[in-house]
Amino acid sequence: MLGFGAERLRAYMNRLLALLFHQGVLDEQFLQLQQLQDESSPNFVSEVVNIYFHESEKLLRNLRGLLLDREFSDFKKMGSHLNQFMGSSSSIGAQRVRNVCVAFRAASEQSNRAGCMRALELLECEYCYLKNKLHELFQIEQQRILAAAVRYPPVQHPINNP
Amino acid sequence: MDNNNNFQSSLRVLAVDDNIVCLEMLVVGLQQCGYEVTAKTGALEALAILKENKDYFDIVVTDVTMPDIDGFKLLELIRLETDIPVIMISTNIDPQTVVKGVKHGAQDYLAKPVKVEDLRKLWEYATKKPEYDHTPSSIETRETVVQSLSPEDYKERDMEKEDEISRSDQITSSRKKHTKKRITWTRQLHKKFLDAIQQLQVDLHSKIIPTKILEIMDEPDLTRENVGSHLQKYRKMLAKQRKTLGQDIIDTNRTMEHLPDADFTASTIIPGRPIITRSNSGGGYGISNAGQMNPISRYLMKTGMSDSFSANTKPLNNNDLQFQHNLLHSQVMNQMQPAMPSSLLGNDYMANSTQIRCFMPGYRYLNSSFPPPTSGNLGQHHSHPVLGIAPYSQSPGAFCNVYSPYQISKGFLNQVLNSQPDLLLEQVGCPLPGNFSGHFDAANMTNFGDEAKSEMNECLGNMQIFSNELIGENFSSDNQHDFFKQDDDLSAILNEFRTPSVPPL
Repeated sequence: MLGFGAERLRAYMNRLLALLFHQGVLDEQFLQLQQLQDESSPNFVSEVVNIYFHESEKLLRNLRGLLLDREFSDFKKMGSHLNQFMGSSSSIGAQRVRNVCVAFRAASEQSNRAGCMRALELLECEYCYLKNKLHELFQIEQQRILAAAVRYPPVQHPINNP
Repeated sequence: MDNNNNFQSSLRVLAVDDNIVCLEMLVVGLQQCGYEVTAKTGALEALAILKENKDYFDIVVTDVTMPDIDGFKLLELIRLETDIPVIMISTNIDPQTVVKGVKHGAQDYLAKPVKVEDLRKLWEYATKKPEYDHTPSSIETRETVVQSLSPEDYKERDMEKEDEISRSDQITSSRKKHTKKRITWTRQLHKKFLDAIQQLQVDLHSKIIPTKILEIMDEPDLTRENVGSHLQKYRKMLAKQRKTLGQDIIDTNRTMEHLPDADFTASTIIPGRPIITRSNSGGGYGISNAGQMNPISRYLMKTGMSDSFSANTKPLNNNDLQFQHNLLHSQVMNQMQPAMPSSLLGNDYMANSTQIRCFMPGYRYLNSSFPPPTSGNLGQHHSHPVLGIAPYSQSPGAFCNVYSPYQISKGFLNQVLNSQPDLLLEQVGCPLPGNFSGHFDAANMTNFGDEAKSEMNECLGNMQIFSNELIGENFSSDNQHDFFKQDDDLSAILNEFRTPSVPPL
């Protein structure tokens, strides 16, 4: 794997990114995020995204917990969770997740529980997709860095002077 | 600190946001601008640290929605202590909130994914003396903020505009000197202004021009120029609002089903690119699907074939497509017709038919009367033939119990529609009146683009062919019930079509 060219991996990464943009999973905010990464913080993107995952999963758990509660009526709390989710999603450029959050919040504002449930399903689905894709992206990134660092010693040709 | 030499580099910023992700982004962004950042997740914490070091910070950047105390309250509390400039950031940028922020004394109000370019300008606020001559409700202030121009810029632009407007009017130049003093558009004044416009709008023959508005308003202090510039701003604001309304801001008056349209279509439509699925087993990112997601995104759901789910991706089977394509429409109709008696239309029949999901962006979560689809629900379709799907190629993760919808191209859907009358049956689910398409009321269509409309019509056309065939059939209400159970999304959509005028059979 180490021999796998860094250039090829980079191309692969770009393709993956292009796909995600194409699908609307990510938007230009993600590029902003990448631009913020520099020598002083080489792992900035993956750090932030990991925080995002951590937070989001907490929020999703809470949301599910709220909705599954039988005597549930705290739509306000749900709204605040969703605001959080929206804020962080738009910060990392997770456009589709954010869009589902918008719909979800609208459902919660109308106290439409069935609508909320649907939105939650969709949200989990979108989130899961995003997570998988970003993980994949970071993995390729790791490989690329490794590949770029690999230096093969110059090949020693046997000296066979005639 | 060497504040004198290079104040920008040592601007001390207090960043407050309860959302760690946003805060992290903000902090790194600020650091990249060369500011010295102190980050706090709680407003109370921030307040405490601000009280301790009154003169340390140059500027505060705060989120609006926070659990302990919200940004506005924080702003008020900060104002009680010092006059340190405060910038608010929020995902919520509807005009009311923005105005509210400015009313409370915020220096600026930025939309949440904050751009680094915006952060670079922060030092300007820190050096500027806060201006408090803005009357809170003045429409001028509101526009200044929305366009994120400094008041100076704005005034300059206003003057230019005024010049343009008054070119035809010769008297103005002399008059203008007297009216240099700032007119504040208070709420009452603005209301009067709006009334005047309304009055003019009613009378079709009169144009809306400043002079007339002024006449109607009958305010001694106002001049034609004031009204003129205000009118310009008002129009601009209207245009802007219309734009943002279309994209982002949710019209709370409308019901759920209309809501996400704009957002969803914006995010999903990529015009002119056919979506084709290829599985890419080696590469890991299976589907390069995408393609023409129909504006009315149609999601084909394949059920059954659980093994293909574990494989995660499945390329469309060309032979299947070919087969369906080759079936002549009439042939199919003839073949299917005998199978249609109402006695057969129960679950058993349906269980063998192909499932299609018509997914329209706006109609997703409409009807509270339908039970939410749980992942378990999907199991009931198990014996259905496969139409070709690929859920997002994802490895089973925390939430993978939800099948991903997969979009198909329009052509494919049409093929399916044309060759599978029973599909339609299922889609229709209830007896349809002949003028089925008429039940798409205009309001529902407005949110779709032209492309969407034509597609929708096409789709409806297809449906109508079949629905005409089906009208003769009598469905028992039991069957209807079953159809609805089969597919929540569809039934929700269909329920939308059923108007009270159509008696349930």
